[in-house]
Amino acid sequence: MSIADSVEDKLTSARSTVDTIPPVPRWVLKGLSIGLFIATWWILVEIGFLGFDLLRTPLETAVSLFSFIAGETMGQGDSIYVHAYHTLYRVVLGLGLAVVTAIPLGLACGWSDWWRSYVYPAFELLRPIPPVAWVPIALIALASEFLGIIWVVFIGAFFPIMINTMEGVAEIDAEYAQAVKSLGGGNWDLYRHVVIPHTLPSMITGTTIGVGIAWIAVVAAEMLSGGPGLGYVTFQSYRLMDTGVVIVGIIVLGTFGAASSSLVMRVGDYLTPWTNEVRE
Amino acid sequence: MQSLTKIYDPEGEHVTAIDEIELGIEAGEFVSLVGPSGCGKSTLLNCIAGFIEPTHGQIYVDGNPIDGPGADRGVVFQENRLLPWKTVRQNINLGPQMRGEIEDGRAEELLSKMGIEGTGDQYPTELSGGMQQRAEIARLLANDPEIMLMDEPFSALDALTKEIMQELLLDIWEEDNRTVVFITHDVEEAIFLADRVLIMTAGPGRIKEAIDVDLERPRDLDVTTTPRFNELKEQALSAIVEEARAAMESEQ
Repeated sequence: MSIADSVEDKLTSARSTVDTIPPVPRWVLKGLSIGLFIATWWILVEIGFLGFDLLRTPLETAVSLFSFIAGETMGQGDSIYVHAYHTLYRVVLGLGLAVVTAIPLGLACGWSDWWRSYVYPAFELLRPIPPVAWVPIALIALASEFLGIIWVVFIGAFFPIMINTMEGVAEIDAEYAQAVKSLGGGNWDLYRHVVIPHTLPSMITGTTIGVGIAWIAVVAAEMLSGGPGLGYVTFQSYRLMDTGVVIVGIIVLGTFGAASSSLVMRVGDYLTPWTNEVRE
Repeated sequence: MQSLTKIYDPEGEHVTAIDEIELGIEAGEFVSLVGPSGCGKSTLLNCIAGFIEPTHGQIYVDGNPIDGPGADRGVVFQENRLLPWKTVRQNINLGPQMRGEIEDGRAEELLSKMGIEGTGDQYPTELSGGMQQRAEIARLLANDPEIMLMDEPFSALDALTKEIMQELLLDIWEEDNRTVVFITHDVEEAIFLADRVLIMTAGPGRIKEAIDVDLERPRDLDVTTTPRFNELKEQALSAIVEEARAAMESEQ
């Protein structure tokens, strides 16, 4: 028997052993991964790795999370609901303004050479600026914390939506336009039946990215500007070394971030049924 | 539509795609355009459709010069151009919808005429290639165009589906007597379908030969085995081979 043959035999027997082990259910694997994370967190706090001894254990965090949900004030004076309301309001307003301005502008700049040549360059100048870098100037120029934060959220969400919309328009196959025209359609029909629906998936992609950036922007802006808000209370509690609030703040922000992008994706799927590959 | 005359030589990037073609197509006539690739077949069709303007010359439909695309000239594209974001029914109703006159049940009628009843609520990408082409033809018929312009509409289909579609197209044409301009590179397809086969020359595109197809109608695919069909095919092929040889020699 050659070496190759014996190796082949070994492999076959090894494979059959593997096959006999029943596959582990997915939820067990997921749970294991989360459990491992929590255990690591716990151990690091208990042994006091670097500065971890100043943090709270998962159990302490869970206890304070529930007490905040039950209505206990967070940081100075405001409940978790007040902070969450302010932050959510800023994200929704900033994002909403971005959607209603970036989509028409993206459509115009994508469709018309005139807009792309004469209007788009001004926007291209502002695009590379990281949204968070706007915070100081926005707070000064807009002379109000509220407007300053809204501006930073808006500008963060604006560009991904506009650029994606523009690119979506640019990808339109000329033959779709020809098809609509030779069915008797005019320019308005072209917009309504080709340009807008064709670009809708790109608008949704842009908005999904925009939501993520909006959350980054709102937290950074709140940390710097003050006032009630989840970003503010998280940072304020760090200054007071109230690490329980800091961790709860992170958890709540993460939950909102995940929930809002999943909401946008769901709305997106609903609006673009033709892109869902499996339809039953 | 009485006479359709076109004389032009557009020069896209100084390449004369088609050169001073003069051609009259009768109302209700089925004309096939055959020629090597790059002979300007599609350019000619796009000019008739109004997608591009000829550099010189003019095309007349019913004595009126054409000015851009219009609902009187429906187009079937090589790759189907059903709007993927609309269901099959919405696609079929698109032409009437844009004129503000959707007729209830018309879409269903056309779907069953094309043999794809029950697909109205599906999106185009859920259908097979042959069914998509049927739906596109249904969309065209819903608009009731006088002229149907077809740019190699069946070239992406498998042989069997292609034959079925050819017979279906003839049925539709015989029913309503629309004018059809059908582009293909398949000589048999051209002869089987058309009243007249126009063979085009390559670079610059001219019409080399017009073959009148005197096969009896209504036709079915059995006609392709008759001696007369083969004669016509020989005639067309020899013209094309001659043309291809001339093209190769001029390149050397």
